[in-house]
Amino acid sequence: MKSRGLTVAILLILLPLTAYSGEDKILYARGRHFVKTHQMDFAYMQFRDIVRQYPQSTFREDALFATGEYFVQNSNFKEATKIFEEFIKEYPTAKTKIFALAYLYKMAKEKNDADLVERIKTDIITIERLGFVFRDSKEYKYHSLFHWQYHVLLQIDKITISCNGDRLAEISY
Amino acid sequence: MPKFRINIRFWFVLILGFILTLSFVINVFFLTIKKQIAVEISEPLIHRLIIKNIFYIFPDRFLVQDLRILPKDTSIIDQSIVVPLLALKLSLRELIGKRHLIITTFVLDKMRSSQNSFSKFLSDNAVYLIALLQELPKMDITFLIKEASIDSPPEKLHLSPTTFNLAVFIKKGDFWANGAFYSGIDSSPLQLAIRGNLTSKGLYLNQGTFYKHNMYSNFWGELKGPIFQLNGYAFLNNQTLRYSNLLLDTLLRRPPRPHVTKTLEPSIDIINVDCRGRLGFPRVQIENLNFILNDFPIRIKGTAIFSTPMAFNFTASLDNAPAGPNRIKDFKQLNLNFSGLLTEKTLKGRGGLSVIFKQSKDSSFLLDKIEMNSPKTSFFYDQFKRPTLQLHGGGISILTNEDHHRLSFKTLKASFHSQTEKFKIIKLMATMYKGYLKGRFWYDVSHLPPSVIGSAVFKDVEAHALAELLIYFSKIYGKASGKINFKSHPNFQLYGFILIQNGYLKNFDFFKWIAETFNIPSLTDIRFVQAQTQFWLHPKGRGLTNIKITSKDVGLTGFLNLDKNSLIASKISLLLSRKTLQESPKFRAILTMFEEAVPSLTFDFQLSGPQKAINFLWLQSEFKQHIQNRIPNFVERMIDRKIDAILEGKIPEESESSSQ
Repeated sequence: MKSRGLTVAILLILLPLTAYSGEDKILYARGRHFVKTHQMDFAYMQFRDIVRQYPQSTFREDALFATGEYFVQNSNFKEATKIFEEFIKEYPTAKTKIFALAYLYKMAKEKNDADLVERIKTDIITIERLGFVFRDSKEYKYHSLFHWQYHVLLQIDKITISCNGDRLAEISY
Repeated sequence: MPKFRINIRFWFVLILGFILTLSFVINVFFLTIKKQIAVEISEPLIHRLIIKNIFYIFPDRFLVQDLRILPKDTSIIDQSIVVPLLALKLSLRELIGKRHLIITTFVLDKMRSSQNSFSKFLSDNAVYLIALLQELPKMDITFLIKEASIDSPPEKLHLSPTTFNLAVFIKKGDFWANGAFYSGIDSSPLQLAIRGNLTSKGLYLNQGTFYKHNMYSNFWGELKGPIFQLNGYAFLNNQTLRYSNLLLDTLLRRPPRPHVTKTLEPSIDIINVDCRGRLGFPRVQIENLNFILNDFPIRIKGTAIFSTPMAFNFTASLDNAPAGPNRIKDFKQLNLNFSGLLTEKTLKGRGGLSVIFKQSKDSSFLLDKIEMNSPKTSFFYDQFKRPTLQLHGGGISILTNEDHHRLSFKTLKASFHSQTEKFKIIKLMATMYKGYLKGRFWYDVSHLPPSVIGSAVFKDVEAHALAELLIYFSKIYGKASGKINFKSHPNFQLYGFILIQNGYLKNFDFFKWIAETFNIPSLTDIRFVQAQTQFWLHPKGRGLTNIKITSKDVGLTGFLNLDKNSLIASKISLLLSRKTLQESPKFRAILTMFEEAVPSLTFDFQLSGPQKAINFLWLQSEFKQHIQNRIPNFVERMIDRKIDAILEGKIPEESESSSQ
């Protein structure tokens, strides 16, 4: 009797965890499917659910970035700013941090907030230390969940960040 | 008729006899007691009186001849106030009716004093004089000072003495005064007109007007118990208005025409004066003194103790003009504090001065604050009668957005010269970091606040001690000489050059990094023949240009600029001798690519980014191309990947360098 009770208890604990690990994957897959079928609002809902319900999920970083993109696409800059700020806070070492900063930089420039622009500019410049011996630049690419193509070109005194070929930020120093 | 004539004569002779006898008796009486009178009068005073003669003139007048007021302390010499003639008038009604000796009129004729003795008399006897003033409402008094003369103190002997006439009338509690002060350096007298009331509640000043040809000021206020309140305004114009009465004007019977003369000194407009304080001699406390000087709001607080020596402390602050032409760009506030003692010839104490700059969102201004302080400050007139400021210890701090720069000095002496009308000169001499600095600054007084330009040379200064000014100096040893040029608002600039001879660089960060990365230990200690650079600092950045280090095995040229966010922009050309490169196993391999005839190799770098994590790029050159031609592309990529790993902290630099 005692061992049966213990087994039930272990099962009760493990079952939700199993469900958890699977659910975020399903949401992720659903989200990608909605992106493929150009149902962006439904895709956003899936990614939002991953962000809200699965804080430990491996998909959460991309999903959070994607929710920010969704608000940029819908010109809801206030919400987009909030999400990208949250992204930078939660994933300070992410490779995609520079793109989140680029969005914040662009939005601060549109708001004419010179102080904020300067602060974000410094954050972008100090994101990575560069050393070029035989080459003279370095680049990264990122393909987001909404299939947006990001590109950053790091040079000794200039950083150029673009999305789908459009320039997000160009910082010279 | 004859009987009547006899009677008149008799009475005339009798009265004349009485007057003469009375005058004679009183004069003899005063002759005997004049010393006693002097002692009696001087008893409540810190000073003593000497009277040469007292004469009585019938019916109600006395003449005091040659009155001298001297300090009781006989060791103090040359501190006398001399009144050649003092005329007094009695109230006969009070004398006969109430038997009270009341003097209703004082006339001081040709009083002479030095400024020091007069101010000492007033300050030493302030308590008694105030008590005496408080008695005044009870009687009507006329007080006249005719052609009084006050000499300048010894340190200002080049100035002419001040002569003044003053008439003060007190009647039934009302008082009014008129006067004029004449100074030899200014042909126009300073005139005053004062009206007020003395009541049992206090003293009310209804009008206190001081004016001369180019100045007008008016004050009003009250003194209730120890608390005083004063309000007012003052205008000192740079335009002098004079009326010259030409012969033609007289002939044509037209009024004289005004002639305007403009001086280079700026107009001074002081408005909204609001001063509140507490008088409790010898202590006078200014609780607040607020006013607006040419659009700049000023606040002063302080305390003065009129003892010997006089002690005081004060804090003053000047805010930027809220708007208008006098507003200074990027300036926020100026603060001054001082506490010290005023002896006869010197002002001693400790003080500080700070200038705070405004950091607005759209401004690219670099500076936050400039502070100057000294624990031991003295202000005096030097042997050439020039105002001189001397500081022992202290320094100037320059605070930027991120950094703190400081220039300390052991002693600093600044003497003020005012030969020219527009530009006044400050000569500076300072000892610092085992060397000295000598300079000259010009300040333009035609504007307010005055703008300053200057230059100074320095010699034999310990270079590494300048680390508090610029951190780069912490690893540089040797005697530095150079020149600093300075320009204040509206275009703040600091620039100059520095030269260090026969010194050395010890663990200089840039060379240390190369030494550790490429295993060249000699780069941690580089002896150089000459190191020089030009430096500059202005609101949008700072930097070093024309950097040149010349040594036997290492050479460096280039520039290094920092913007307002302290981001570096730099290009550096590094020359390493074959001998130095031989130390590194990695460079030994590279050296084999070059002929023995090549004595050194030059590496050109571009540096950028934050000071704490500088980005670098090995710039393209013939030498780099030569190496690239000799190594395969995959090796180049491998080297760059390794550099990335080092910078990301994935491979420790030392292990990397040792592995090569």
